[in-house]
Amino acid sequence: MIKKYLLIYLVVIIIAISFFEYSVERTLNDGCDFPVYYHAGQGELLWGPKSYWVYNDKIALIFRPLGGMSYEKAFGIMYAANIISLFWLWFLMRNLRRKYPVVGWTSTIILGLLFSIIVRLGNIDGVLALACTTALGSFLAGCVKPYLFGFFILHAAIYCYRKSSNVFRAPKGDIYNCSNNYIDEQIYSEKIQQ
Amino acid sequence: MTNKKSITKIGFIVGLSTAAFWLVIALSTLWGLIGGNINMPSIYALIFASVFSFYAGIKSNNTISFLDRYYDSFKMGGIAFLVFYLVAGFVWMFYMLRNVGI
Repeated sequence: MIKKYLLIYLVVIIIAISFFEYSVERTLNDGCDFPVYYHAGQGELLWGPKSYWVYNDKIALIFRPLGGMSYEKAFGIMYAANIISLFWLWFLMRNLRRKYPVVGWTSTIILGLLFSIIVRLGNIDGVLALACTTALGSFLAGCVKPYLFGFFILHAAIYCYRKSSNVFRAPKGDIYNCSNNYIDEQIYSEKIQQ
Repeated sequence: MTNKKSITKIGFIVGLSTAAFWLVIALSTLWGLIGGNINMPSIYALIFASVFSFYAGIKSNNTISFLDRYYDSFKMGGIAFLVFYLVAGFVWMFYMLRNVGI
């Protein structure tokens, strides 16, 4: 099983490496998305009809280390980071594929297709998607793209649900007729005493 | 009644704290402290999440614990965020398309 996944990862890495030169040239010609980050890292926020900086000015500080490198090297780092994100997200989806193979494999393929564009453009979305798998990361990702705060809400809800002492959830309209949870029994005994 | 739904002090605290949290984030985005210039749907969605979190917080069941109330509040906020983000996203997209003359 592990070997099968390793083979898929290896194929993706080979494809990614073979398209690296093309991606570097294409992004430089098109001017999106990585060149915008790269120039922002160098302190120059691009504004124009073709490609421009759409984030908060303070976020450009994230790209400061990349701005000091050569374009190929900086693009390579973003390229690798996005591929690692894809691999990690695929790894996290393993239980979904095991329990619901159709949904799991469809999601895996769709994620791979979406990432092919993200990796090729050197977009930040891949790294942000990886960050959204943790609570703190989703908060920081939300500071870059506010719609990602949706993931932080999800993390908050899951945290409260897991830490809650009362996992019992009554079905609507009938609180006394369900599981053998001890809180259920407590409520039931209170009802009997009344 | 153990499961009576009414506005209590704890419910008010839970509702108000979650609502305030989302509202602070929405306003921070609006004032340009975080995010960027393409975030109007997210701001609307966060404001709606704030309102619905407040509602869910104050109307959550009296018998359940503090964290359960927070869970209800965040859950409702999350659903509101998702729904309004999709709606506001579509409205915003058409508004932008009209602006560029398509």
